[in-house]
Amino acid sequence: MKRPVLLSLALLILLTGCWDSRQLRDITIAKSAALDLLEDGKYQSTISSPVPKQHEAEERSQKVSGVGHTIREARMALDGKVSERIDTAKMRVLVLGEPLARTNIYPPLDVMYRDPRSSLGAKIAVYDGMGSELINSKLTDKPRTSEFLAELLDTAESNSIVDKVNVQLICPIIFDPGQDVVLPYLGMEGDTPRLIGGALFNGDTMTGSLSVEDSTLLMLMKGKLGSATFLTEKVHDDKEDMPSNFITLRLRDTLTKLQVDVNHETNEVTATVDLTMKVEAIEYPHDELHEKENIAKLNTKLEEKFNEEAEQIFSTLQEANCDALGIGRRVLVYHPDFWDSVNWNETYPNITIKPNIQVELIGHGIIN
Amino acid sequence: MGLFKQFKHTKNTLKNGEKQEQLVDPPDIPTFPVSLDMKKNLRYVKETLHYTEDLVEKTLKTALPGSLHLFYIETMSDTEKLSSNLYQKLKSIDTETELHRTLQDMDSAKIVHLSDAVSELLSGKSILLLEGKNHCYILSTNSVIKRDVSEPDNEQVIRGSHSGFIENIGVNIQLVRNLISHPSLIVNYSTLGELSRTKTAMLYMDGRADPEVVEEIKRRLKKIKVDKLMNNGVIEEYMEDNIYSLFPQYISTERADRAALNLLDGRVLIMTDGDPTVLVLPVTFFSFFQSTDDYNSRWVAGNFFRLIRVISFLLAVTLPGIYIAIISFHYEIIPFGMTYVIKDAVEHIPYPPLVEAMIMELTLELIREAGIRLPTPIGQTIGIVGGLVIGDAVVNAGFISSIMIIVVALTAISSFVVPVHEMSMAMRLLRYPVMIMASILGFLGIVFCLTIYLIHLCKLTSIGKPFFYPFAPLDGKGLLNRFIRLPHTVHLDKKQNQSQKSSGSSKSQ
Repeated sequence: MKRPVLLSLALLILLTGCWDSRQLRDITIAKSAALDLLEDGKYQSTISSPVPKQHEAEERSQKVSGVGHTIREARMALDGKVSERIDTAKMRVLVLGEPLARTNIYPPLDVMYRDPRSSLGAKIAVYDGMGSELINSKLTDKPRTSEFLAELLDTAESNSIVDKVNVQLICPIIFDPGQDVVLPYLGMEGDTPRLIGGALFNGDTMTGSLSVEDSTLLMLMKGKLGSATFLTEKVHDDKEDMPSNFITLRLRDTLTKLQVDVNHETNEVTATVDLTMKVEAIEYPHDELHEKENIAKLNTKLEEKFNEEAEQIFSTLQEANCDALGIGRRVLVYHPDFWDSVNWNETYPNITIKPNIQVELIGHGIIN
Repeated sequence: MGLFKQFKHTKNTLKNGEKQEQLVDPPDIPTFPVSLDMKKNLRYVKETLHYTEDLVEKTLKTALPGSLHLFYIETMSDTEKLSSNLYQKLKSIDTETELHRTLQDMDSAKIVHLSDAVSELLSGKSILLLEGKNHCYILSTNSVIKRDVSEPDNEQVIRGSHSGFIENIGVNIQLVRNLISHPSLIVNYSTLGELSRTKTAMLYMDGRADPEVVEEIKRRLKKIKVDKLMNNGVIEEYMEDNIYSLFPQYISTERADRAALNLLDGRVLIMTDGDPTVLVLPVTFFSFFQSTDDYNSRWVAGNFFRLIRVISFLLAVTLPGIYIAIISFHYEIIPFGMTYVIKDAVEHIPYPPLVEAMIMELTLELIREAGIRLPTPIGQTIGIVGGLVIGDAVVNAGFISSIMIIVVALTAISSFVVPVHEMSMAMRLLRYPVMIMASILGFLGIVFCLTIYLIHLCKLTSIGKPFFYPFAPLDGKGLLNRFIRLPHTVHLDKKQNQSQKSSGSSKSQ
């Protein structure tokens, strides 16, 4: 009795193959990747992975591209060009080229959602051009491109320029009929990448874009306030030197409320966005903030400006048919009958969206 | 561990009709009553001891008729005592009563059988034969070698008593009695070892120790059949409920205060003459992580360091396994910044992580084992050679990744944190199965391994008491007592102390 038990135990331990072990040293870790749609309808996948110090290559990271009819095929083509197995589990940034984003983004992302080990926490952004261009860009005197991009997007989140999005978070929004996604929009300035605003989507197709300032205001109206959000506005026209005409504000606190009304007689939808901002002046050479009336004046001036901008943003959104504020969601929940009777995709561009922005200047700096 | 059920060990199960074979026949000294013929007596003593040359025979004369014959073994006896108590008084002895008084001063005993006297002779006493008498006297002239009751090297404390047990059982019991001056402290002597005839003592507090435990220990002590007993190691194995377990089920200590505190907790001590370590039974898993320092320092600090010790156990057992699992299965869980640092380090290691870890662990064990036996100056050299030279060179040569060195060093340090040496040995052994399983199945393998350990711990007993006590029969109050060191001013009610007597209570060390 003793021998068979011992023998079987020994066999169990010793002959169990390590077939599923994935040695860290045998893997090429993709730190950032770009997906592109080529002109002939094929997908191109580009990855960048850091080169270990030991290989002593002049380049500190290798960049490889592979082409195929599907993303998976493109990935296979990539695998053929790299000595080790490629693994995307630690990917930090996924860049989508604009041509791809303009068609549809879900099919290429499908690969990510099906692989249990893919990096769903990777940041996702749209690039104004071919994504491979951004991945292949050489940055002088900066960290590796992948890290630079990741940190760029991180900072943008804390400045409320873009929403906190990653591969996982955008998936439910893409499929939500009453809500649309806004992704960070990257571009090139000379030879360094920079954030140029927000890419507006309708479903899974990119349909427009917003500038950095507009994106910030849109985020505030969505109720997303980052830890370091600043706005600069022109509040005077009569000062001699340029800076004196402007005020730079730091947002302390915001309060948002989205009110959606449906008039069942005329089938008209009206959405009101209430936004109360508590701000602090952090740069205002003109000063004179110790007088209450000046503050009140400034508040009204700022409110005018912001409301004007907000209306501009809403028309852009409706033009792009991008329901970034989730108005459709509210219609679906509170007025299901109306929702069922219309096609929201066609209705949304024609609804009325009214901004109602209140500004309260609460801090005046430390001088007085 | 059910696997080991197949090995029959007959320690606690004597089959009916089956006699345990005697390893050695008892020494063959047939009884020999003291003869009236003095020549026969003298020859008998010398022949029994095979004319050994350290046997001293002296003929003494007194005013009484008939001479006295004195035997003693010079290497075992204190000649000072003889000269001051016997030789100097011989002149003044002129009556029988005077002689008896003198002998009484020498703490003498009258013995009829010379054969019994000879065995007393071997423990350092002297035999006094009187002509024309059919009995003899044995005089206690034993000389005792003692060293200082200094602090044991391997159980030092910052604060608290600095006395430790020595190789003399009498002194050891005295140390304990000094700490516990209570009439209910009981000492039971027994002699073990057919050849060595070692004296062992069992100490317990009546009314505090569980009578069942005391009986069981007595029963097991009786079963011990060895020809030589030089230290506690033999007794330990007879006392353990499961000798195949990797966990020790007793604590051995050289600290008198620790032993005394355990006695007060209702545990039993077993001492062996010639061995400064004392066995404490029955113990629980968490007794190993308690030190007298916890009770001598302020209670918050004491708790913190006790927690550190328990964490060190987990670290020492699982850390190498976790590292292996991470770099061969689950590198996704490494934070972004560290991924590339670790990948850089392991990029060119020529063999699998398990082999790498084994090489390093075994090297460390080699260095440790070498360092123990060597005198201090050379030991330090070994430390430098091992630590700096091998550690640094092996990384530079590219055999072992620097991260592995860090892991192994951390593991080694954690395994030395535990205050009891047996447990630290157990910890060092426990990590190898974890490492192997981790290299086969990753985290899953570690979970398997730890589950098996946990099942085993829950099943383990020490003299029939649950080994994993505050957890394995779960007891909230017990947790408060054993796991946390409450301030001395807080008193939990005594009820649970009664119910959990001797499987541990509040002030266990």
